[in-house]
Amino acid sequence: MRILLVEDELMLADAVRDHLLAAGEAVDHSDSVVDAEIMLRGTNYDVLLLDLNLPDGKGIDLLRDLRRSGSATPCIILTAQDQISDRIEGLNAGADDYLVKPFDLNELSARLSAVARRYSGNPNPFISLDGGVEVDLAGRAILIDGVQTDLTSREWALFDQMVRRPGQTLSKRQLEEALYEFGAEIESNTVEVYVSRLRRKLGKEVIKTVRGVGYRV
Amino acid sequence: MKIKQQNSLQFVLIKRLTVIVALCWVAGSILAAYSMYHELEEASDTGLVETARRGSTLIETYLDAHSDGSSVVVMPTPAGRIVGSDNDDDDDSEDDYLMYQLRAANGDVLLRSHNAVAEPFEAPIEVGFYQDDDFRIYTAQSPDGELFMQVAEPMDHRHEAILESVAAQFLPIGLLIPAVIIGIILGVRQGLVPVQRVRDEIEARGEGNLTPIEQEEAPEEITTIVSAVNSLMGKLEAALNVERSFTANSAHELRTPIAVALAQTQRLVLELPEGHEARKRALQTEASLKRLSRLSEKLLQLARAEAGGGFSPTGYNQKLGSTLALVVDDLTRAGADGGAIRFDPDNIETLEANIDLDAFAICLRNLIENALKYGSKNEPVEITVVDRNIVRVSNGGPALETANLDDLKTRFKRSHKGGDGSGLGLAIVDAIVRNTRAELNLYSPRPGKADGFMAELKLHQS
Repeated sequence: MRILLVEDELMLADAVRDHLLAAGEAVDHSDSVVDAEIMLRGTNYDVLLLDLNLPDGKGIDLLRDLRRSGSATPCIILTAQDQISDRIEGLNAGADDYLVKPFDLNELSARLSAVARRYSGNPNPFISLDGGVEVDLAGRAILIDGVQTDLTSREWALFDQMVRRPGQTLSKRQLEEALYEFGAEIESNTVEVYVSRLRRKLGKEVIKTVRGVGYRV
Repeated sequence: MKIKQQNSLQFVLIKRLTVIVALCWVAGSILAAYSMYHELEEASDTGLVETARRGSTLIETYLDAHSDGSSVVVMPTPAGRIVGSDNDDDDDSEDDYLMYQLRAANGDVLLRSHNAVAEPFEAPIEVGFYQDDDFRIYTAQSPDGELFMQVAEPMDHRHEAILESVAAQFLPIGLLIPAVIIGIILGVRQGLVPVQRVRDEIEARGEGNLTPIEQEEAPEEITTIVSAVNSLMGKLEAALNVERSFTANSAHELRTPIAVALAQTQRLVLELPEGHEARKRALQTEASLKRLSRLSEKLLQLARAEAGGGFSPTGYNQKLGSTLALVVDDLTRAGADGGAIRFDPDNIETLEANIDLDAFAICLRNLIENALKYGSKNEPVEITVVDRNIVRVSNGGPALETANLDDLKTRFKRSHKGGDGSGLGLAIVDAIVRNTRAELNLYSPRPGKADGFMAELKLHQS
């Protein structure tokens, strides 16, 4: 997933970003409202992680503006404001979830996945694919004919993008955006390399190539 | 707040006014009786004088016509009765209370009324009044100076007349005094209504409600007090707002560094290889940070709760169903302490009370967290809404000793030894309950069951 993390506390942002990168997600970080607005205009993020108290404004105003502009980007608020009224205000402004600091990084990952699943139209984390492949999105586990198969974080990130939208063809550019944050060096054949690795591990029939367009499961 | 009757201004005013009015009335009546006594004495004496002077001529004429010169002439009993006499049942002599004797200058009785004694009166033969224990007598002299007319009135009769007159005066007073007391009570109550209204207004303030008291209807005498109270409440509210703002800011300022430390530690745990020496310490640090996080959260909740407030911002009931659902959903998704929650959504739409949403959420969160933490893991925590304003949170597990239940509301008191709770949950709820005039009732075992624990939150209705 391509995630935008808007957090002005740099040490916390570092830890969150490292955690998500380690899980194979692509994370861009902004420490201000202005930068976040610019990044949101230029990129289609899968999830927005938003702090409420930022040096140049309120995160809640950024979210309201985003919703007013018609954006449906999923948003999870990360804040130290723990009152239920703050939570209600955040949800009413268009947030999909609300996580109060300090939070467990694993809980953050779980909520990210849940929100992403809801937006993909299939909140069920268990998906069955051709070739006897069973996917547990919440547990990040894959079973082929009952045998667990391990994927690297990048492999999982690519597969996760496709498996959330079964039957939908994703372009190479869409997959690259989901895999890499700003500034990351991307080889021209990176997507092809990972698709090839996934086919070796999961079977050729799981990922289909739509010539001239992209890939789908 | 109950006021002791003896200390009530209304009671004191009624008591003093009643005593003063009664004393004035009694004093006035005594003065009136004293005056009446003298007037009656004077009237009776005038009667004696008039009777003696005017009757002497007639009596002398009668004596001339009936005297045989040797015996005392006795006037016959008058025919008929005295008009207006009260003594209808008594004999006629009772009505003719005046008696008289016509005496010669030497003291011999020449004529007497039928009711007069045969012996001469004790009074000397000289014009004027004479009084002994039995009679008051007036002696008048005939124009020729030969005869003396003595008219006597029994003292008993005179005393009786005075007593009856005084009694006739006091009887209506005795009947009127209770009516006056009732009038005083009603008057004082009516007069003190504005004061009581101000008292009720002040009493309604105090906790959570520090809005100024309306002064328009306040009596002039207590306007200054109302102004002073309003000024004091303004300062108090400002101080409480500063305190609340401080705790809210503290929450934010404290949470962020803990969040940084926890996130960095969790990353450290994940980045250290299994079996690394430092991994165990990193895990211990992570556990300590989580505990610190929970404790700081509870302490800040307690500080907020004890800073007062907690009523609905409008001062009236507000709907609480969606907040209850949000808290339950949050705790269910967080999987707090691994327990399950069974939430009965019946009546949720009817739930309303005069309580702030944040205060209500803090109460519920603490009650549910406690149930999840200390209840049986084999049985779900049950949350039900009863009537419009009661929320019950119950859990399974061994019953607690009844004597300990109220102690659980004190800070850092835990029901189970070795529990990893902060011991502040019920103290926080209790503080909010006190601020918002709600009730927190604890039961163990649960009503209708042999085990478990139930907390019943009965919220205040406006």
